Amino acid sequence: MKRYAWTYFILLGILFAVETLPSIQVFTVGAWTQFLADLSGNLMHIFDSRVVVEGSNLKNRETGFAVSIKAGCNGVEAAIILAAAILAYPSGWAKKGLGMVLGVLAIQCLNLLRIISLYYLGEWNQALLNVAHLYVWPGLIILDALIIFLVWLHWQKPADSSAGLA
Amino acid sequence: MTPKISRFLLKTLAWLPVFYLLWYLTRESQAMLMAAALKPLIGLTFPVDVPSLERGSVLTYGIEVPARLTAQGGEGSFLGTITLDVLIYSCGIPLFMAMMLSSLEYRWPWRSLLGGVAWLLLFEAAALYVSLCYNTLNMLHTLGVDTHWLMGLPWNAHLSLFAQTTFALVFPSALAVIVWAAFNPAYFSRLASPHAKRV
Repeated sequence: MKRYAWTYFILLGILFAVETLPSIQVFTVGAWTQFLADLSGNLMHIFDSRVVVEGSNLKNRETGFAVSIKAGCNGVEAAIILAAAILAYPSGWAKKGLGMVLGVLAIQCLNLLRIISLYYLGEWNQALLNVAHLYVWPGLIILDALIIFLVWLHWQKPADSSAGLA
Repeated sequence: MTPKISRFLLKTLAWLPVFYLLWYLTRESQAMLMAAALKPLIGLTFPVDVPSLERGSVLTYGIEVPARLTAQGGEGSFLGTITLDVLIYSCGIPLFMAMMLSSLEYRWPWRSLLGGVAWLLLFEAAALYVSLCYNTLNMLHTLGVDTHWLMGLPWNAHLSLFAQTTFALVFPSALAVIVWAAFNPAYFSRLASPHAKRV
């Protein structure tokens, strides 16, 4: 457990240091954030034609209400936390790879739901948008990462579980 | 998803609104507690007096910067303000409480509950202090002041973003999960174990 915890924290520090490098922010995190804005805008446009994407903003063209998707809103941090937890665990690389791909995908799906829900919450009530955005959703996304990690751990081979966390 | 994990998730989601409400209702007390906890540390490390004002969950710090240190120069001083919302740094506490009560097995884990909250409060104070420092550095950098004036700290865009990402964005929630796992290693292992009894 101690060894796992140390490996986890070291990996977490390295991954966050890399994520906050200016070049990574511009070319990877920034590009991903823009992709998310486009994707969520296009998804919303299917059932709500008033929604348009302007840069990284989702905007209601009738009321002018807009939310901006910024770094920190893109689920990258939660994905890093999950990736570090999976990478630090003593398991095969194929399982780690599969866990990370499916896990990050699940986190990003929930993040899309988060973006869409925040947009409509903000249209309805600005104060509730702030509460949900700043305090509630970060906890839910992290809880999602924990559940994904637990499910991934559960499907490890029994032999792997003996070398694990307990 | 296994029944045991599903049950843990559903219980946590059921407890969450209760603890979010309690936590939100105590926001003013939290701000007062954090302002009191940070005061001696700020007094020891900042080169000037830094008065604070609490309004709701927001702490506002006033920092007087001598004008001669700025790019413009001259007499007098500038008053910069830094605002910090303590709820952003403590939002892991209701998640931790909800997860603790969802992993109850035989008796109420009072010691673990109090111990975990104490760790999270300690982190909250540290994160607020780090955030005050990097926000002050950002403000000084914008004013064209040599940031070494503040505890000899240099300004660095990467370090500033790293501090903001980790202390204000990630750890407030992530630490709740980490502290919960640290206080419940046996339950955590049972949840994850493929041999766990399905209930």
